[in-house]
Amino acid sequence: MMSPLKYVFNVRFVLLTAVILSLFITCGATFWAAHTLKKELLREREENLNVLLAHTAEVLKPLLKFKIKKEIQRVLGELLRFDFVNGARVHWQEPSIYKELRQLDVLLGKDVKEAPQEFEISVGQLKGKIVSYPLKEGDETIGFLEIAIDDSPYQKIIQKTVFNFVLTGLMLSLTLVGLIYFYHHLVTRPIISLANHIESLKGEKREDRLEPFPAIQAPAEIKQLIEAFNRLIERINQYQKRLEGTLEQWRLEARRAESASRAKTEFLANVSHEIRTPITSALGMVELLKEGPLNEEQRQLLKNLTIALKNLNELFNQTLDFARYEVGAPEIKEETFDLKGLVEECLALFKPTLSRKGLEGRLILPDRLPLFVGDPGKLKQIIINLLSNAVKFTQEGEISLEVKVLRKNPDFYWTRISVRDTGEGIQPDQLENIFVPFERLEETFERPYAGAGLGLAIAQRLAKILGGKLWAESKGKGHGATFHLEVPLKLASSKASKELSPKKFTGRVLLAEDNPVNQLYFRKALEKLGFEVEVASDGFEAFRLAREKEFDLLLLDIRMPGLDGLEVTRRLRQEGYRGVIFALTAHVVSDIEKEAQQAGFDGFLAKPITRKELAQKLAHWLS
Amino acid sequence: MTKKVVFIFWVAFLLLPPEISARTLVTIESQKARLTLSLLVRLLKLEEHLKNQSPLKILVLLPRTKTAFQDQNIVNQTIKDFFADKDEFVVYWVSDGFKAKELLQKADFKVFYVAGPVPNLKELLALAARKKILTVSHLPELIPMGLALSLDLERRRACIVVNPKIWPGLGLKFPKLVEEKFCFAPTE
Repeated sequence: MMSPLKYVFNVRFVLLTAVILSLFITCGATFWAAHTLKKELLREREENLNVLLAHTAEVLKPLLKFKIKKEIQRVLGELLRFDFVNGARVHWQEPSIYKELRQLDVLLGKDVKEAPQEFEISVGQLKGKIVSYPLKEGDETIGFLEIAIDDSPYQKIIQKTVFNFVLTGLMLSLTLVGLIYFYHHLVTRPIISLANHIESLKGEKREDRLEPFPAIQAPAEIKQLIEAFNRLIERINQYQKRLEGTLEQWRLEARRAESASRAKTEFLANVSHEIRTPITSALGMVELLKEGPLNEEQRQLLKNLTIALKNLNELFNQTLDFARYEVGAPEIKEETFDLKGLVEECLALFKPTLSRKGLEGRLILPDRLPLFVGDPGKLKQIIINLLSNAVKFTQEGEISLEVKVLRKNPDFYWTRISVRDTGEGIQPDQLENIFVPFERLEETFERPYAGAGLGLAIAQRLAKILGGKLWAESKGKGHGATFHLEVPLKLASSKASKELSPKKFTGRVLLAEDNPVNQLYFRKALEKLGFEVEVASDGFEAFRLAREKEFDLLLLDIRMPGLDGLEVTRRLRQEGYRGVIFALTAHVVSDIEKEAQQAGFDGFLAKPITRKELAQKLAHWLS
Repeated sequence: MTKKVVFIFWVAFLLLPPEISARTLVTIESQKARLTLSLLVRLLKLEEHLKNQSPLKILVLLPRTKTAFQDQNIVNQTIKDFFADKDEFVVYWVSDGFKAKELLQKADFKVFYVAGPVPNLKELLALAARKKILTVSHLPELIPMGLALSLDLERRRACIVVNPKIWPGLGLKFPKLVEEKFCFAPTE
């Protein structure tokens, strides 16, 4: 389940940004306003000051002319009533009339002292910026009016304005933050909750009913969204309910199919057991007959009988394999085999047919071929398929089977096995189609090859399973055809090479087999290999003997009356039995082989089995 | 513009005296009168015929009408204050134009000072001229009405204004330096 949906953007960040932005705007606006206000105030003060000075000068001029000092002082004092005026001073020259009067006094003989020619009257304190205004009489400057400016009132106004701006900005910031918070609370959070609810729905089990989103306090638009979502959930629930009904029906069908498949598997297992058991017996008897005194003709007949029985067994195995292919890829066995013997055996299988059709069978082998480890059964199945195909479509000439080593390394041999015929040949555009199962095969073969039925399709599939490839070459109709099989073959170890050859064994073997014919065969075969054999006819006897006596090998048939081989092994293993136990069965269904491994078997011998194969299998464990 | 007008009115209101008291205030008119009287005193002491006459008889007309502006009272008080310690003058105070006419006709005044206009001022000035009485006022605008001497302080440079028609008939004689300071005002 996914973690709850995170906020797409951090609300704290947005709030912080809003506050910072508001403060920035407030500061900017404040500084701008303060600057503008100061500029405007100073400009207005300048204008007002000019007007004030001009009018004051006009008022002062006659007073100065007539030296009405008291009145001059009063006028200057009135200027102090302006906040921005710290003090004022007027400085002027003596009016001309006084000079005239002094001249007349001189004529009158009076002792006239040099009276001061200039006067000055000041009020307040002349601190701060001094602004001077000339007092003019026509073009003549008769004096100056000076005013000391005090900026503190303006500074106070500016400070008050800045304070008001900052206060307003802070209030705006708080309002903005509040609005963002409410937006987050009323809009963003419901949406995030809805998104998290959707995420939680993804984690619910499919059979669970999807929960609608609970009703919350939100704006009308969000409520509409939630209602629409809940309607969708309701429809999904309805759809899911219908789907579950359908699925239940399908499950029922699947159970039926599974039951049918299980029945088929059981049928195959039973058929396998029932057919392979007599084949095993027949093969065993033939093996025993071979031991007796026979003339050449009888020996040849027995040989042919052996081959026919083996072929029948192989074909039966193929049929079972195909059945297994339907379920899945077959398992690849790892057995040591002689490739030379394998191809010779394959070709020998077709010798009667070749003779009957007047065809020559040729085997081309390299000078020396080592032993390999692999799945000889599947390899053999491919070669038989190819040979049967060649024999079928060749009326005259020859069929050759060639083994060639393409390249090799210390572990592997890349081997090409080619089956060449001088038969009808194949159109080049049909070379791919001959490997397509069923339909194409029907077109190619007049009738299915007896036994396998799927011919080249199975062969090609097996080739791929073995890690190789299979393909056909032909120059067209009348030019024959060649089938190439390329497979990597793993080299057998020297130890395995030794094991391959039948040899004499020593030791005691408990053979548990209910079928008397098989009992006889396996007893003889094991004795021939050098074992001392004790026979049990059912599971109880086998279990009892295994507990009472010591054996080097227990060879237990899986299907036996009383306790079957699986149960005997299971009980022995539970009691701590550590000896070698081999399963012996005509069942070749892979499930049984797996079950045997789980029960505690060390090996698995599929009936029928020749003495040679038996020796090879046992050699691995008992040598 | 409106702001400026309001500001000017405010400034004017502030600059104007809150109250006027005759005893304490010194107005431009009173200062003019004081200066004119100061000039008159000096001129009388420099005139060839009058400088040796003492005490010199002066008639001062101080109009006191009900409609008179308060400034006139200040002027009158200033004139009175000016002559208060001037022993060389014998001052006759008159506030009525007819009384002034009567005094001019009966007594022998050397100077007639007009502190303010009265209805028969023109007649009084003509009578004084006929009797060769020096008519003086701090109001130079009375010259066209027949006033002989005044002080024009409104000019850029103060000027002793004399009536060219009346002045020669008075027979007054001043030092050259003084006469150079006279300026003759146009009469009609």
